[in-house]
Amino acid sequence: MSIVIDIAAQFTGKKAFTQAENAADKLARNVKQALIGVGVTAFAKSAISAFAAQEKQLAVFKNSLRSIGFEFATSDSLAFLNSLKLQFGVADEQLIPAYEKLLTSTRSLAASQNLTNIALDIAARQNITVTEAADALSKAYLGNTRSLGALGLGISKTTLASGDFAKILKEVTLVTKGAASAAATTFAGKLAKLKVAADSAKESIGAGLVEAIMRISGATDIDQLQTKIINFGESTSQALIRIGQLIRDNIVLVKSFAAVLLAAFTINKIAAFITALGTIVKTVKTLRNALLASAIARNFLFSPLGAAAMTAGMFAAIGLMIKGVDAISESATKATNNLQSMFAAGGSMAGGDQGGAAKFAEGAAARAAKEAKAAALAQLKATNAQTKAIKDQAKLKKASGLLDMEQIQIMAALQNQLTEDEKLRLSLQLALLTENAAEADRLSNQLALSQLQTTGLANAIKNLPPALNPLQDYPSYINKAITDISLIQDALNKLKAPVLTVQVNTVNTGGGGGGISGGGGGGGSPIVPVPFAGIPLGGDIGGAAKALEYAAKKNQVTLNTQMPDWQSYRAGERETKVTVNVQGNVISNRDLTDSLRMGLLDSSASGSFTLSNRATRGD
Amino acid sequence: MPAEIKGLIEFKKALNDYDPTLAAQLDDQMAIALGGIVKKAQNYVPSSSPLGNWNYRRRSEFYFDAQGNRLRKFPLFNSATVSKEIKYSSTPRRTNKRGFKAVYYIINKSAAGAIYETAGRKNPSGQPWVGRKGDPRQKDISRSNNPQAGSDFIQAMGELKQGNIESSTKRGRYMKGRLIFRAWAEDGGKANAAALTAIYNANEQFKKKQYFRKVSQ
Repeated sequence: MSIVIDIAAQFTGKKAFTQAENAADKLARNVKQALIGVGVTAFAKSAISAFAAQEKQLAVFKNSLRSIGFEFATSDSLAFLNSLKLQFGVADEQLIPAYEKLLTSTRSLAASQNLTNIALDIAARQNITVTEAADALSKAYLGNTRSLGALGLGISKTTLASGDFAKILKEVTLVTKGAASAAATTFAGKLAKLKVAADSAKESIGAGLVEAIMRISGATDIDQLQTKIINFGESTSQALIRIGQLIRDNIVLVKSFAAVLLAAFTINKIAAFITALGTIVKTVKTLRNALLASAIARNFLFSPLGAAAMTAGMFAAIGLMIKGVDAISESATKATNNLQSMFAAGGSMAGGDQGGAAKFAEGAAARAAKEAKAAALAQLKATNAQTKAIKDQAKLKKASGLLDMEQIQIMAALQNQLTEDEKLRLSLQLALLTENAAEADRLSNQLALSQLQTTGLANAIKNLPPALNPLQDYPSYINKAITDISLIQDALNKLKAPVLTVQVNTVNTGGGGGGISGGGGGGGSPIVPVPFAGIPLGGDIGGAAKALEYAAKKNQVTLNTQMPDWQSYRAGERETKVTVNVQGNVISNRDLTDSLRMGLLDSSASGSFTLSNRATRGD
Repeated sequence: MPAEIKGLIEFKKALNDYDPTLAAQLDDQMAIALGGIVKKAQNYVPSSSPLGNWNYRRRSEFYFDAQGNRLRKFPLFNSATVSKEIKYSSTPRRTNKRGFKAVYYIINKSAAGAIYETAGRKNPSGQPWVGRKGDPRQKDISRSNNPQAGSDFIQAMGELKQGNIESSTKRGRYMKGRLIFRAWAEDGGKANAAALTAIYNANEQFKKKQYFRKVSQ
């Protein structure tokens, strides 16, 4: 064991996730190999092989559909499968047989597409291939549920035994729904999707290569091509000259390949270190090592297909394009010329002079490097010019913005007193006019927030209960009061208050009494007129009530008041005369009683202690 | 914590590929920064073994146990070898269990040097004594006839010095030692700072030359 002091280290990932990274590395390496060193030829071969395999598979698929009467749906089915492939990262090799099997079983396009989706979910959940899942489903559809049960999806035996496919499918869907989507979002799923994209690009490139060879050779089918390729050695140099045309024709494919390659590099974090100069260096190496080496020159002569040389040329050009695909596409003619000059002496190579070919290869490599450098510089210049043009355009736009009426109106409007919302709207409009995306985004968010808040407030106000109006019932009170007053007034008006004359016969128990109002005279019975207004409100209040009743009948009442004799105890202390003087409004019996009582109290207060004492006692 | 530099490995590769001169310059600066510690550590290697019987002598380095397994004998102390095997390196090591890959490091590579460096760090009075009956493949026991052998051995080695904890990847006893850790402790983090500055400067120079370009552009 060594003893170490770390000075500088880099985190490269723990063991747990190195596996995933290795997958990315591997993918990147595979694609990278297409451009670097000996990988060129290998990649070309594999691209053609992939294309051939795909062609074969498609032919089988078409044939299968034809045999079951679904030939018309071939293109639709392929489009559907292609979308699934890209969505879930499942290769054609699995997807096409699965779909084919399901379509054969169900004989329904809709059912087969639905079941394919379910098969994808099952495959993702149970970590099996889609083909296996589809096989189980198709068997279940035909009544054999054993395979589906064996997948361990947790479907009850009763359901399986019932053989009701709809019911089984419902349970399967319940268990597996969304598994494929979830799997596709994982890192491994993304890698699989990337791999599918890379494979597609590879197949496309393979297709392009085969097509290019056929076009070059003028063959209309593969058999014819084979015959022509046998004699390919003689026309190798001419064919190579046409590689330029091939690149131009397949520029879309090449671009897509480059995009995939860059994506792969990004995953592997190599992206940050891809440099323009580095690409040139690598391209030169590629040209020198892979394309123009004498071994490959020999391939031109002895390979039955001659494809290796063709593809080497093709991918050397791709290497050039990595540093600037667009630049190359714009000057495809130039690239063609470059390649023409590179292979101008192809005749001598075809002649088998390997030493000469090697010397030529070195010269061509140097020329290619020079051309590549020139292309890079041209691209840099073009980029600079473009940047400058964009900046100028921006300046012009800014200047023209000063005269833009719409902007002026908005600016004027902003000067006025506005609500916050209106200001926001105007500012947003201005930002949209000036194409200030960041500001527009910020303002739109703010406006949305403000609108939400306003709407919320409005809703809250709208939903408030009606406010209590303290004066709401005021008129009714007033009216009632007025009515009451008028009633009282009416009642008062109706009343003709009788003038009562109350004659009080005072029983004098003591000595001779005097008249009530007069000064004396013994034993007289003076009549005192008592003004009386009001209505007795009922209640028999002793003799007073009787007196009122009597007065109402005869309009004159003689009230005999039998005073108790208790006063005789103090006969010597008081006058024998009793004067009752009723004053004020006496409306009811009670008023009268009160008046009498007050009179008695006054009388008591003036010296009749007995009366006062009795009242105090409550008798 | 150690200096974790993201992209250091790629940076080194890029330097070697695209600017070998700058790469060489960086190597020189690292040599200046770390070479001092290496020299100092080499000076701490005793000219002869602290224990007489541990001194190097010609002998077979291996033996076979009862089951016929080929086992390595306890390594002998050879001052020259120990000194020679103390060095700094810029070759990335294997990723450790925490996921870090050391790129620049000082290493005491020889077995005897490692023993001299760390003896007594874990068990200051020696490993638990078991005697001859102990399993020879077990590394954390003392199989010596002398129960005090471990303790004596450690005492003869001298004092363990505590290395600079702040500027290292390790803490506590893992930074104690007699050679490189001692030199590292006495340096006080200056070498570490110099090394990191050198890397930083090289990176800045490399960026100035505009070798890098974002892929998305």
